[in-house]
Amino acid sequence: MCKRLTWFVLGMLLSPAVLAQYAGFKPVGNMEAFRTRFAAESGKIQTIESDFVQEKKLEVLEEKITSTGTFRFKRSDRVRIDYLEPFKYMMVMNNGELLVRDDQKENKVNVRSNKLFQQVNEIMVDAVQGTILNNKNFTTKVFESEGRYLLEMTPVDKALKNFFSTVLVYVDRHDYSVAGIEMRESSGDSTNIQFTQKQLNVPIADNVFAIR
Amino acid sequence: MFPSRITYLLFASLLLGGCAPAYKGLIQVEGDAHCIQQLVPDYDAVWYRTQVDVYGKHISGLLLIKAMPDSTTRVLFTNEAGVTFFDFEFGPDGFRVKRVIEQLDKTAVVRTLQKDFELLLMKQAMKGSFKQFARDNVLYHAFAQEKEINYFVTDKECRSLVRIEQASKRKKKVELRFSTAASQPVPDSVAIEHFLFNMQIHLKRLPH
Repeated sequence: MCKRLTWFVLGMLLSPAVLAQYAGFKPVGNMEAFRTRFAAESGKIQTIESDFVQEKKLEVLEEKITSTGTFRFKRSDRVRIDYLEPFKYMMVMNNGELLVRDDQKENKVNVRSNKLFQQVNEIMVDAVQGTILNNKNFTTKVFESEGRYLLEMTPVDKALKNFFSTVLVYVDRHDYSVAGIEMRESSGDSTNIQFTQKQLNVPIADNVFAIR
Repeated sequence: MFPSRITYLLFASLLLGGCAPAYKGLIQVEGDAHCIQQLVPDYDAVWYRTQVDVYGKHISGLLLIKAMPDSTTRVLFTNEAGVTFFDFEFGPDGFRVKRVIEQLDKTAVVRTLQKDFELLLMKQAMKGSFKQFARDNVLYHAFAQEKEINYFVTDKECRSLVRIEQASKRKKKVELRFSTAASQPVPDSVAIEHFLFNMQIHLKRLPH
């Protein structure tokens, strides 16, 4: 009787429903098929133009701050993020350089000279370019649901771990584009970015990403 | 409370004019700390767009000032992309660093920020022996601490806070200037300027 109970409890504990850390998701059935398809489909994406909503949640303080803006990407390695509300802020990443501009000042940062910036830069670029599974700075697990794939990325580097304990990348199943990114901190705080009104492969001029 | 010898000397040198020109001509007047205590802002949960300029470096982000249920106040700075740079706690039991990124985790940096925010939050900076002075149509509500004096400057009637100054015996070290709309519990914007080294902090309240 005791043995049966033990097996029952173990069975319950190990059942997929309980193992699902991400509600609605299960470990991807065929990793290689996903990897191949992901690389192929995201390789077709030359540009992305979308809106975004970003929510930063502070758990202990029970506060959150929501910002909105636009996101643009052009192959290769070019990203521009414009925060519009409730503050204005711009970030352009282009060829290893990062330009930021707030209300007062413009600041050019050579990403290659700052390892941390470089790694954060790479997450964003790799996520939208579809090369994220090759990013050596993370160990990645892939999960799937009916509508999406979820890439759970855990930083390898200690410096990056200080910032993010996990980065989650949500990928749309139908076109393999990135639907959202969630960056979780070990404190319990998190930053969640959702992309909306996505337009793929519309023309975007090079000078949008110019770093003067 | 019997003032310590140091605070006595600070005040004495002030009155004898043996101090910085910034504080020459202050005339001591009667008054107690009650009215300035009424002007402490009520930072319930307020977000400020923040820019910090220090030694040629420019950092921007968002500052949250939040009153916690346990009577402490948290001051948290996060950049626009959501990376938290620091999280400080100010309370009756003192100051505590809850979190700070490695790049800012230096005693001098943390201490400077601690003192600036203590002046901004006011409560912790309103400790020490109290004296009131008048000059140029404003009132200086002065709290003498061990090494410096914190001046909370108001209009003549002590109805609104004009600025806050922290000074050593010789000179003004930090000044906070406010812009507060009528009947708002907290400032719309704050400029914090350091005089002993090159640092400014600008806060602008986010739309709410």
